[in-house]
Amino acid sequence: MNDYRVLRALDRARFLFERMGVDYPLMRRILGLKLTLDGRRTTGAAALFGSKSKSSSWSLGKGSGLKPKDQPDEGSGIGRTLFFYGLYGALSSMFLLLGGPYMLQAGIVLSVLLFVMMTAMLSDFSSVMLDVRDKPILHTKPVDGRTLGMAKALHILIYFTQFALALGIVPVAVGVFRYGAGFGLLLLLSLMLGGLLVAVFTAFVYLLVLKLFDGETLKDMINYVQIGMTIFMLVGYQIAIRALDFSRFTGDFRAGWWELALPPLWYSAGFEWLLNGRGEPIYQVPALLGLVVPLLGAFVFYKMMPGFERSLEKLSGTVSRRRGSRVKRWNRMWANLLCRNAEERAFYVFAASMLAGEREFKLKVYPSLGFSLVVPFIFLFSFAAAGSGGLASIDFAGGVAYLNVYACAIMIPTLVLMMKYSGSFKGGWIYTSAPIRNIDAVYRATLKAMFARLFLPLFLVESIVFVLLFGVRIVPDLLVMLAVSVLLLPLTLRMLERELPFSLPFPSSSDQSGGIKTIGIMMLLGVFATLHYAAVAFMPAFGIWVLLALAIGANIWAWSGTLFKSD
Amino acid sequence: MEASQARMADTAGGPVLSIRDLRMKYDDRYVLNGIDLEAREGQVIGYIGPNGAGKSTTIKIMLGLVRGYTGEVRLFGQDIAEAGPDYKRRIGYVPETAEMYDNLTAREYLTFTGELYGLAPDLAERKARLLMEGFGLGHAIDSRIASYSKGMKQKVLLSSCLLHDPDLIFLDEPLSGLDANSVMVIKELLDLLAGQGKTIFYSSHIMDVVEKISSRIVLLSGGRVAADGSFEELRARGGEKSLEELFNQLTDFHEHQEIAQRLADVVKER
Repeated sequence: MNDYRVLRALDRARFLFERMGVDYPLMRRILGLKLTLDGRRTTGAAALFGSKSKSSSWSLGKGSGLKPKDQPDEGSGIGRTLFFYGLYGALSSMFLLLGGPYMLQAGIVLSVLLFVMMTAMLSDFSSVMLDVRDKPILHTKPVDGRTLGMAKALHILIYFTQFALALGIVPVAVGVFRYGAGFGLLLLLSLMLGGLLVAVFTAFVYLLVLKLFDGETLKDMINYVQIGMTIFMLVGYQIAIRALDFSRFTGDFRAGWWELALPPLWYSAGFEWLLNGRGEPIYQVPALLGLVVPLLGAFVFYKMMPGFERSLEKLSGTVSRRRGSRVKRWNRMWANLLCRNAEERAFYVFAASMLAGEREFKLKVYPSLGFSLVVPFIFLFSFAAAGSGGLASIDFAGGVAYLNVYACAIMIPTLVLMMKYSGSFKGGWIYTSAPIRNIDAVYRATLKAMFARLFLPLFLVESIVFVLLFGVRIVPDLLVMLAVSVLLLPLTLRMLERELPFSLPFPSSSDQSGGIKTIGIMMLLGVFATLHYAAVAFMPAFGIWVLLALAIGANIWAWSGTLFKSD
Repeated sequence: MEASQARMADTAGGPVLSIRDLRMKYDDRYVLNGIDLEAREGQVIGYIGPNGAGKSTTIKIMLGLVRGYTGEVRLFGQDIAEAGPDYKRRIGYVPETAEMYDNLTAREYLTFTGELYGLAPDLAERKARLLMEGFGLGHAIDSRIASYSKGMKQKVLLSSCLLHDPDLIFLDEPLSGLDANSVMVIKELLDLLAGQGKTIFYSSHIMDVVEKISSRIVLLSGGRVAADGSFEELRARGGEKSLEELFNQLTDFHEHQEIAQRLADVVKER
């Protein structure tokens, strides 16, 4: 547990830590423990590569519910996740083969890599940073605050460096091979600093939220912050892509100041300055910003760390807010509306309350909700902007651009994939000790709860905006889209491995995208959209109604029959 | 009323629970080596034994949580291997560890479990509220279970176990985390429930409580029933004073002083 290369490297700097008043051997122990824990985390990305399926211990099939898997599976930990990130990096390095000015190439590669880092940050790193378990375990032991703080900071640093290296290794190698060592080194440096910038940015946003809010509100705020950051990031990248308009990168390119407000371009400006010798302030200033801002930010954050830790305590606080009876009546009403029998209704209300109350679930799922909310608009405007006439070219009166609302449904696979997880998964004994007649009801009710509580509100917002843009004529189309989205719920479940809802612990690491099957479902969505387009294009009079009838028919098939197969 | 009379009828003469030659093995290791057991209405059975004796496994088998056993388990006259899930309606269960969906409020959790056992939502909620108020937790019913103390969680578990008026009750360390006053309430409650004809399986490591509340004691050791009878019968056979001493004797454990001494010596070491 204490023989990590990183730790041996740290040993050389031992005197430095000791001068800072850190109890070095103790810090080394804590770090070793954290690294071991990282290695044992199961990851969604790892599940892609066929690790042993971990069935919930409450399975209704044969065998026992008593034997938990107690041997830590070292193989399926962080290593596989890193491999996955390496793959992203390898793909992005293709842009380095395009040729063209450094500003363009480095800009694109860094944009892609920092984007990946930011998503990793939101889904994965948040849980490392907002981890409150340290408190009861480490703070009750005789360890001083400085040592603990340093251990935590180093852990985050090591964790993040691993990601940066995995992401960057291929692009850097390609850079060295194609443009020489200077380019490669600068790319590596940019990546490290950019990663730090992303980390510091996230940390400060959380710091702000922790300072401003209290108790339960704080816990809910964290979720909204995640949605907000997702949207911020997506919109930011729209601007970045505009900035990197290929046509403008001909010989005598001059960047506009506003474009250099975007962090990935800070670093690409450094390439122009240092490697092409363009010493104009418009390159120097951003490049220096890229160096100074993350370092300064990290320093300031390190100073504010004790305050951060204190605020974190609010997260584990037991100040409880009462949940009103309004929500209860609301849930009951939907249950009566959507469910056929008492058993299913009971599970509906249960699932709806779980979805509302499960903080960890929200932490994982809400970013993708934010994503679903903005993606239709981004598609809408991107396609328009790619054309000649810009935004004005969208044909609101007669066009089919409203089909972009289909993109809203990309959250459904994520939702269905996540429904088997819960922070309090051990409560799952209730499924077997209770006299449940039809286990299908559990799945059906949970899917319906997800639909009514998470998908429908978003879809309605989306629909209202699109109806305002395109007119009432698209209402039948929206109905088809709704029917198709509803169809995707049981369809996704049928394709995935079925585990009882809320019966497995969250895999506490990155990338919940859940693999090839999810991509298959996304493609299915694309097929539906194409069908829809064809129906509208070739049978303008009645095609949409045929489609609606078909979608409803498919729903009846998909929702009936057994959703759960034991064995 | 009629329904409950009908329910009484099918077990009237026979045992509520009967286990014959129950064996269970995990990876070639037998944890149950042929258990025979019968229980009747109104009995409070103290179900004891050392760690790993197979107490929890037997209970989990009866609840259908564990499968793959051999032998026969009949509850209310039905073989549970062939019965549907309906027999579970008449069982209440408090597991050893207070595992619940604790981001729900007590009201939400109890209403949900009540509904699972076939109660109408309104009835389940009303009984949940009354039980919680009875336990002195009326003020906390709309707070998340996660914010409860150990004792409060235990009371929620007890409520969820009793909500549906079960005939057979399995309690695994039901008093853990409860204060002395609540312990007295629970003991009294168990007595009353037994008086109503319910069968109670009470599993615990606290021997004085088992000694006081049980009308019959079953001691498991090494996956077998090592002793079975009322406390007086066991005492007459073993000649010991307390159940704790009987427990030591029946499980062949005499070196507690030596072990304690060795541990104390290690603590001293520097």
